[in-house]
Amino acid sequence: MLDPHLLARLGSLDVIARTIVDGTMVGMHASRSRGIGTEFSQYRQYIAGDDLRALDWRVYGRTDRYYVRLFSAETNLEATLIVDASASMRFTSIEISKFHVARMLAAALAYLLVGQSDRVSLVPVAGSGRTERISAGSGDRHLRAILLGLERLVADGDASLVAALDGLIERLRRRGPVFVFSDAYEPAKALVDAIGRLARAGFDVTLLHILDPVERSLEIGGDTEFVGLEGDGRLTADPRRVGRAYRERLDAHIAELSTGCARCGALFIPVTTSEPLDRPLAAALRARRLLGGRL
Amino acid sequence: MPFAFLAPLALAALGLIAAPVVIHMLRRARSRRLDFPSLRFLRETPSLVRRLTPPNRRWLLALRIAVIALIALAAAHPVWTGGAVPPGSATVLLLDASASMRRTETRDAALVAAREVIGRLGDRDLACVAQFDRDVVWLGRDLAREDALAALASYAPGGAAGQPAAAVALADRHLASTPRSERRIVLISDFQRSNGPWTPGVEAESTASLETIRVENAFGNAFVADTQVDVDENGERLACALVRSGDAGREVARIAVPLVDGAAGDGILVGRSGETWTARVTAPDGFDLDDVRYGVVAVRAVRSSCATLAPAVRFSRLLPKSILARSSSGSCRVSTPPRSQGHRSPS
Repeated sequence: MLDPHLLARLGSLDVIARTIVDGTMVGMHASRSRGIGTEFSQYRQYIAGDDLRALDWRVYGRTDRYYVRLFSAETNLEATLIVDASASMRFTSIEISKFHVARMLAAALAYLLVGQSDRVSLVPVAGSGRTERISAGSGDRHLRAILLGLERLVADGDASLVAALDGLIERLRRRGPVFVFSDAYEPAKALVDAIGRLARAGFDVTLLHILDPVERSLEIGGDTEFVGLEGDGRLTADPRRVGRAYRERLDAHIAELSTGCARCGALFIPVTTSEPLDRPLAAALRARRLLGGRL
Repeated sequence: MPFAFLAPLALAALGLIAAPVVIHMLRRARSRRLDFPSLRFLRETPSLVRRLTPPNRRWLLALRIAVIALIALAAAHPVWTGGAVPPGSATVLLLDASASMRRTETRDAALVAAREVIGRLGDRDLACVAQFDRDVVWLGRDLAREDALAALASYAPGGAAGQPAAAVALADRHLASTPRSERRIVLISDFQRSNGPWTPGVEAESTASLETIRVENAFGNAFVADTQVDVDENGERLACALVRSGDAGREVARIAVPLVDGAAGDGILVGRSGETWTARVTAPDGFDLDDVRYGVVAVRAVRSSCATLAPAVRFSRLLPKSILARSSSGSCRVSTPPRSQGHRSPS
C-alpha cells in the first residue's frame, strides 16, 4: 500500500515516482517492461515483479547477478500529462494536498512511461512557479526535466481546463494517451464535451479526478465561512445543515463526469487523497489494457 | 394567577435568561474561516436566526434557560394561593387586649398606632382588625381602610393575660387563605410581662411578615400571689405577695392588709363577695389594674403559686426568646434576653 503520507515524506518526486511505479507493478505481478517492443535496447538490474522470461541467464552465469533485457518499442507512445495547478488544487484537510497527489501520480506515470521509452509531455494548467509546458520527449534527462517541472509547479490562479484540452488537439502531432489530473470543478458538460473532442481526435483520455476526503464529505463541525480558493467569493454555512445537499450536488457532478467519460471512451478514475496511490495508478493501467492500449 | 411570590424582587433574576441566549448566539455567530476549492455546490445557510435551530443545540439552550428560570422562581419564594392574586396587600392588625392595656394612656397609644397603620393602607389594600388576650376576637375582617378605622371603635381590652402566639398563628392562617401578593401582620402591644398561663409559641413558618409596635406602659403589670390569712393581736390580716412585672423585671413585695372589706394598703384592695375574700391590685394612680379574674385569690387558700407559668414562649423567629424559670422555692423569676434585640416578651 502506497500511503500518500509516507510517499510525501520521501521528498524527491523522482524517488516517489519510482516507489509508486515499483509498488504498483509488484501489486500487479507484472513488469513494467513486459511485452514492450522486440528490439534489444539495454540491460537493467532485475527488480521484484519483473518478468522472469526477460532474465538474461547468460549474464547471470558470468556475473552472478540478475539482469533483464529491455527492448525498444517499435512505435513509442507520446503521452501527455495535464496537471491542474489551479488554486483549488491547494486544498487539503490532511497533510497531502490534491495538488501534491496530482504531482506524485504524474511523476509516477512519467517515470513509468519514460522507463518504457515512451515520449512524455507535461502541460500545467494555471499555476505558477516558472513551469511552462514541457514538450514531449524521452530519456532520463527528459524525465528529470519533467520531475523538476512538477516540483517547481505551484498551485495558484485559475485557468480553463477545457481550453487546455482543446488546445491539445491542434498542438499535438501524434495521438496518444492523455492523463488529466484535476479536481474538475468546471461545468461537467463543458469538460465532458472537451474530453469527447479529444477522444474523437484519437487521444486516449484518462481523467484522474482528485478530491480531498473533507471536500468529498463536507464533514466539518460548526459554522464555517467558506472562501473560494479561485476567487469565487465567500459564504457562511453550517456544514451540518448544507452537507447533504452539497454531497448530492457533488455526486451529481461526479456522476455526470463519469458517465460522460464512459460515453466518449475516456477513463474516469476517482482519486481520494487519503487513499493509497497505487490503486488509481493500477486502475488506470488495468483499464488501459482492457481498452487495448499499451499501458 | 393562582400563586404569588413572597420575594418578587428575586424575579429580576429572570433577566439572566438572556445570558444563555446571548452566549448561544455568540458561539454560533463565531464561524471559522476555511479556504475551500469551490463554492459551486455550497449554499449559504439562510439566516443567522434560523441557524440557531439545530436540534441538539436547541435542546441545550432550552435546558439552560429552564435551569436559570427555575432558580429565579425558587428564589422568589412562590406560594400557592389557589386563584388570581388581586393587587394590593392584606394586613392583619392584632391589638393586645390584655389587662395591662386597660390603662387609658396605653390603650389610646395602641389606638393611635393602629390608626396610623391603617391610614397608610392604599385603596386596594385589605385590613383585618383583631384584639387578643387569651382569646382572639375579630373586630372586622377584610375591610377597606375606612371600615377598618371604624372597627377600631370596638377595641376593648379585657382582664386576661395576652397570648400573642395564638393570635399571630390565627392571623397567619387567615392570611394564607387571602390571595394577596403582600401579606403582613402588625402586632400592637405593650409587651408587658405578666403571670400566666403562657402558651407554647408558634413554631410554624409564616408566609406573612410580622411587624411589632410597642406602646408604652409606665406602670407595668401586677398580680397578687401567696395569699394567706394571719391572725395576731390586731385581728385578722390578709398577707399576700404583690408581684409587679415591668421593664426592670419582676418585683415581689410582702404586704399585710386588714381583712376588712374595702381595706386598702400598698396597692392591695381587699374585698368580700359572700364567703370569698378577694384581693385585687390597684395602681398607684388609683387605676384598677387587674380585674377579679386576673388577680383574685381565695382567701382560704393557704398558698397560690406560679405553677401555671410555662417555661418559655418562642414566637416564630420574629420575636426573641424569653426564658422563664421557676425557682425551687416557688417564687417566680424572669430572665430576659439582651435589650439590644429590640423586642419584649409578650404578655
